[in-house]
Amino acid sequence: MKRIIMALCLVSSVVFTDQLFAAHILEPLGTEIAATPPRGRMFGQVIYEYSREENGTTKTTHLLPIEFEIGLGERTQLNLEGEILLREERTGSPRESGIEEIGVGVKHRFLDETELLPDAAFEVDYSPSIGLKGNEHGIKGELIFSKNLHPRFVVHLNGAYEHVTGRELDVTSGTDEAVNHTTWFYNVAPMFRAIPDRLMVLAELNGSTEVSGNTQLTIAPEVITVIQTETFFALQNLAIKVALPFGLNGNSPDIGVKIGLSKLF
Amino acid sequence: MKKETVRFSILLVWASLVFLFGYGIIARAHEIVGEVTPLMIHMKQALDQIEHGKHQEAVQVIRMVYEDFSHDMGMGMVMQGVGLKNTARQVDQRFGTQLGASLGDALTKSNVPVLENVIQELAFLLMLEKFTVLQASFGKASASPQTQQTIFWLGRNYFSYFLEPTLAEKNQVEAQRLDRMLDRMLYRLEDGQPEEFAALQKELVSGIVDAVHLDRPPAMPAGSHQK
Repeated sequence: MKRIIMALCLVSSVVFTDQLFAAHILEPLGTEIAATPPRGRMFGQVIYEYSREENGTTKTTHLLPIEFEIGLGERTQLNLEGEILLREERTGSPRESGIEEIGVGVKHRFLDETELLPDAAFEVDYSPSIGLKGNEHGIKGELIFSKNLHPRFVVHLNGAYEHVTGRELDVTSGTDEAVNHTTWFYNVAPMFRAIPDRLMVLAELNGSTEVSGNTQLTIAPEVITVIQTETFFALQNLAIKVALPFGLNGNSPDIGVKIGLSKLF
Repeated sequence: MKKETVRFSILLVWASLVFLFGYGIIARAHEIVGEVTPLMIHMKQALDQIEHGKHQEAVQVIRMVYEDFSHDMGMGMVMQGVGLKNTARQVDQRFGTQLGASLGDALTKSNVPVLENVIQELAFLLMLEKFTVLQASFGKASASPQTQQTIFWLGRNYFSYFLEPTLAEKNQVEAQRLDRMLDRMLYRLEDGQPEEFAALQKELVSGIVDAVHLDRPPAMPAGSHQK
């Protein structure tokens, strides 16, 4: 037995290669998937987002969301997220930049996909600091579904509810008062595996509706491509994502671009 | 104040990128970890050729590695590889199958469907063989967890490299289910739960046999739970 084990280890050291088949790095830029990273593995993603909105005034935003998802168990992951506002320019207003949001969360996949049922997960995120002043905090609950409708076609669907509480100074009365606002989020991402696990072509529909009534709705054609190399470790399990969101209503950014870099460690 | 914020942001981005790229070496890629031999590469090449309708090319690729062969690894290094004929013979001895005869016959008659089936059957049984070696090591002080995990990945690679891509093209849901089952087998191995590992292996074997339409081997080697 020892000989067999030694022989196997020896053979394994002769020819090494790595091939990627990891679903997790194929997550769309603006839509969650129900899959969680393998236990003890980590998924990291950096996104650069540019958007431009003309609505009487011109507003351009450069955003940098960063997230890490760590596989805690067979079906559970820990989320660590941060969003940096690199620059925001609005006609007639001073330029702004800084930390927009930091958050921590947990996702648990409670249903495995079968022929009929989808993969389903529930996610809870807590953001202790929201806004450039950091004077808001919020909690968000999200239901996530993923379903393979065809070997080359998968759909991801999210619905989320976020409650944010902040403190604002009322200038007239000079008092500090609590302000609450809640928002519904909904995302749909049908994905086509043009080259399975190498090239994905998809479209994302991302929406949010504040209880006050304002709705933002964007649609974004997107491409995800996987880089694969057998020699350079940093380029293994790496995906590059590019999306071009278009606003579908007056409250949404007119046009933008998202470039993401994802890696499974 | 704003300059400081921007500087902090740049520092954070830089640190994240360093983390993303610099620590890639810690954890290797997901599914294929470790050995992919020249023989496996040729077998896979033949399966790909068959999938793309290049039947003659597939037969030619398998003929190249039918007998024991030499593989030029570059930099003046040559690796001696056990050919498919001897691999099939060894598998036949362990599992009581007739893959050697089927392989020879398929090559003589250029029977591509049989050739495809033999390659998939070989991949399946070579995976089982590694898991059998792994099970035999359970409870032995001489087998380190690292060695056991290496053997596990050697076995799992046969599924991920040969069977999973083909299955995913036909039934993505089942490919994902079996892949997650292999994840769970790895966790049971890491957690030192051999009985749960064996139960999952049994489930995996049934799943693969049904999904890929393979034959269950008439005999299982010693050390396996499926005698």
